[in-house]
Amino acid sequence: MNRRRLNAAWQGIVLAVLIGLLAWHTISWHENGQHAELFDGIGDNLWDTVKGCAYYVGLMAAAGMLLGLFMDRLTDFLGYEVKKIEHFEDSEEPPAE
Amino acid sequence: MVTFSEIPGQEISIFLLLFIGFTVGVVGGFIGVGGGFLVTPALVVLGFPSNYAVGTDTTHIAGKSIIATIRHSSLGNVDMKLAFMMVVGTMSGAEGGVRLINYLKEQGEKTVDTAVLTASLLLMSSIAFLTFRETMAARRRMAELKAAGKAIPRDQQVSGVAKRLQSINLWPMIYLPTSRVTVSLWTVLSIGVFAGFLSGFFGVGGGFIRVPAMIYLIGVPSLIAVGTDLLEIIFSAGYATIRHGMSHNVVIFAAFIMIFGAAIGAQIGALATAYVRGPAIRLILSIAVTFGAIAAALELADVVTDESIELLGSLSRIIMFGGMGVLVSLITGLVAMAIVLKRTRTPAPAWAETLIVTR
Repeated sequence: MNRRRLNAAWQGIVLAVLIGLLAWHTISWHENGQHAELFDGIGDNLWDTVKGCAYYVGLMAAAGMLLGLFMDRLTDFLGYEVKKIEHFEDSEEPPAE
Repeated sequence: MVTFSEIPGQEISIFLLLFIGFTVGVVGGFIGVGGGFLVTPALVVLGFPSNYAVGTDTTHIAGKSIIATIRHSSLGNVDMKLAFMMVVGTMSGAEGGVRLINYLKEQGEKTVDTAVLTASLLLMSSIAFLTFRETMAARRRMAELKAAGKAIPRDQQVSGVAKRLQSINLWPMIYLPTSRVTVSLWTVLSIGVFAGFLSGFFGVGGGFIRVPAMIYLIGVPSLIAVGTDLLEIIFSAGYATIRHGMSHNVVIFAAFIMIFGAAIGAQIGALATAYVRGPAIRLILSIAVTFGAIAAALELADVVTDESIELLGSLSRIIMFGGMGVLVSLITGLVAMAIVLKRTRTPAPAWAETLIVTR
């Protein structure tokens, strides 16, 4: 296995563990009613509202980043080469200066 | 099956949530839209009250767009400079649109609902028709180039509107190196405000407005418009998540489930752009917006008839799920054809040459 795929494998494992921890956290908060408490608390006072909305945005940001990076490492590990697209290849128009 | 405390009494299939996330990930990752106009009705069909459907969908879109943007960035499809300029304009415009619609609703809700749905239907139909017409003209131009012995370009546009807007010499003029476009900052901000206003007014994410706007008004190549819009959506959907969260419209666990489906779908959608030319993106976009327009028409009919015709509900379900299936099939079909033709070194059929890349 070449160096690039080996690095991708290690990074992928770390990311997978983090994703697993995030999933475990989210499922347990769903099961134990913490999500319901956050939901109900929104609007009661400023702190609970900020906490609830920040949690929603933070959870999606964390999930998006971890999953996005994991998928990137996975394609590297599988040997799929992602190349930059040549957008102006054979274009009729000259590029703007 | 899973239950959500936010919507008591409803059992929702985890598989269907993952499936919805997956399909909107494919479509959104490919054409650069959030997919709310497809997902929101699908969640309503699953049993979400409409306000929860909108809020939950918007929340999952914020996360999904991060996944898709990371992939598009590796493909060179993101114009960061343009995205940040558009975000400023879009969010200002959207706030204006939301305030106007709320003001109009205070004057008489049902009349406004009917008027907004009608205008939304007309807007989506116009975008779908104009995009389709321009795409067909672009494909004819590409075929002419091929017939003249020239190579088919990655992207081709025949609309001259972008050139005219680029020629407006209003300081400061900005050069966008990724898109290779020089345009006035005010032109970009104005387009962002306009697109944002429409999205805020009609209550949609606005990707189906911004992507054509970037392509036809600023002159950005289609694939770059896709990636750039997804970066923008992170901010606009993030802001909308806060607003919906404050209104108790978000079922966060449902959004979390959907994002796992979207993670895989967005990869497929984004990577698929490496195998297609610009007209393919615009063609799929026009088909997707057509489905959205049909759904808007059904919703309008429902409002006008005071929900008295059950057939409308069934038709809406068929259109939504069928539409998602059609779009995913078209995207994967184009990509599969490109891969097979490339590997077998077979020339593409004439109709497909202007849609896919085989070398």
